Amino acid sequence: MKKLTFISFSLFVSISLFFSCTKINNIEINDIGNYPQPLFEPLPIKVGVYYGNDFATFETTQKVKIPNTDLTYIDHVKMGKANTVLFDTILPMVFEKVTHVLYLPKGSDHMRNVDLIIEPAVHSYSIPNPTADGVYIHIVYDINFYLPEGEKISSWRIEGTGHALIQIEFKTEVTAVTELTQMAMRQVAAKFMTDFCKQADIKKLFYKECSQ
Amino acid sequence: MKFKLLCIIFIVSFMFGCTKSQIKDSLNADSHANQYTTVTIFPINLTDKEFAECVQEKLKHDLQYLKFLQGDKFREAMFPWFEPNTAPKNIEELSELLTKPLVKKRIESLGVELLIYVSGYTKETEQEQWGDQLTIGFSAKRETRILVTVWDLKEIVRVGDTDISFKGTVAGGYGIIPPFIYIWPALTESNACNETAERISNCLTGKDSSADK
Repeated sequence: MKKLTFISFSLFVSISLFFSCTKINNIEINDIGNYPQPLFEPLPIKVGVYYGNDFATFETTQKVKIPNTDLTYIDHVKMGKANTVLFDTILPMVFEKVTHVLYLPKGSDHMRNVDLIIEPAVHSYSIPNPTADGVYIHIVYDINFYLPEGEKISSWRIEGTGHALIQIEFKTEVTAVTELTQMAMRQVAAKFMTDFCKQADIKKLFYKECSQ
Repeated sequence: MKFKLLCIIFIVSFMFGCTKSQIKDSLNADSHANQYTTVTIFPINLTDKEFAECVQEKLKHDLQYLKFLQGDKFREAMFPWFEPNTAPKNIEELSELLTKPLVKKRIESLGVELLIYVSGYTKETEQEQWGDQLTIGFSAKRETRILVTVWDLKEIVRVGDTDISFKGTVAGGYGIIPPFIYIWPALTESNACNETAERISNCLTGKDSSADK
């Protein structure tokens, strides 16, 4: 009996110590913030967009150690919804017509009524430990381009970074991660809009449309 | 007792009170005097916002004839072309951007003639603490650096840039016997901000800034 009491007590102390130094945050990002109407005429290209399951339900766990303290955050970030909202927002700004496609065409499938199929994917999401320079969040997307016949023509890697000075920000971890993720997403959105036509294979394929 | 306290304050002030500056300035005053009416002080990254606001406040005070369009408003109005990862970095990129009719038209409608990029940082290094049962103190080296690039959007030219840094030592502490408290800030941010604004102001009014320090 004494032994059992001792084990229970030890377990209680260990769990208490663990939780005093580690905080678990469940962060669900469903929104991307407001984007202004871009200074951009939509390109006369009909685009089909395909969201894979990994992309539309993307979640990740990040361990963030706060410097000069014993505190560690375990951030469970769910951002599948924000991923789809991001591309549902920017693609109609860039292209004249955008439709959702439920699968990527293969073999003899030929997707009608689209000139190009776009499949965004999350390459990586990371929250490095904060430093004196502040706190950062990096997102990297791979944008895969397919012809209507299903042939993959290229993949374009776009990065976005959210950055805040830690010493002047007094926000909860949930708010900070959400805002920095949205900041990084906005950079991805801007890069997609400004550089789509600069991609070599896209430029070759849509020279006329991109020259307008 | 008062004399002792004054001595301590004097010695501490003498030790820590100075900031050293390093100034690089290529702003050309001759050809740009009093040409502009509307300016945007633009923080490239959101973390540079405080430096931009500080420089803008000082310029507002010095050049009351100028109108200022807030950097945030300019960024929103120019979306997606002036985000941290898409803003033009050199005169070639700016010239290319201004060939886009929608961009050119928007800049004209905003009336912005001068765009001033501001970036910077403040960092503290060599932090030290000391003390015993009766006294305690700390010090750290502090550096603020503000970089500025000035673009003329009418002529599409780079007017020039400045790179200004101020270094100092921040210190503080207290003692019980004899009782005293001292806090000595190193005002590197405000010094760098004031110097930056003065250089821009001199350029825009045709005054000659003193040579690089």
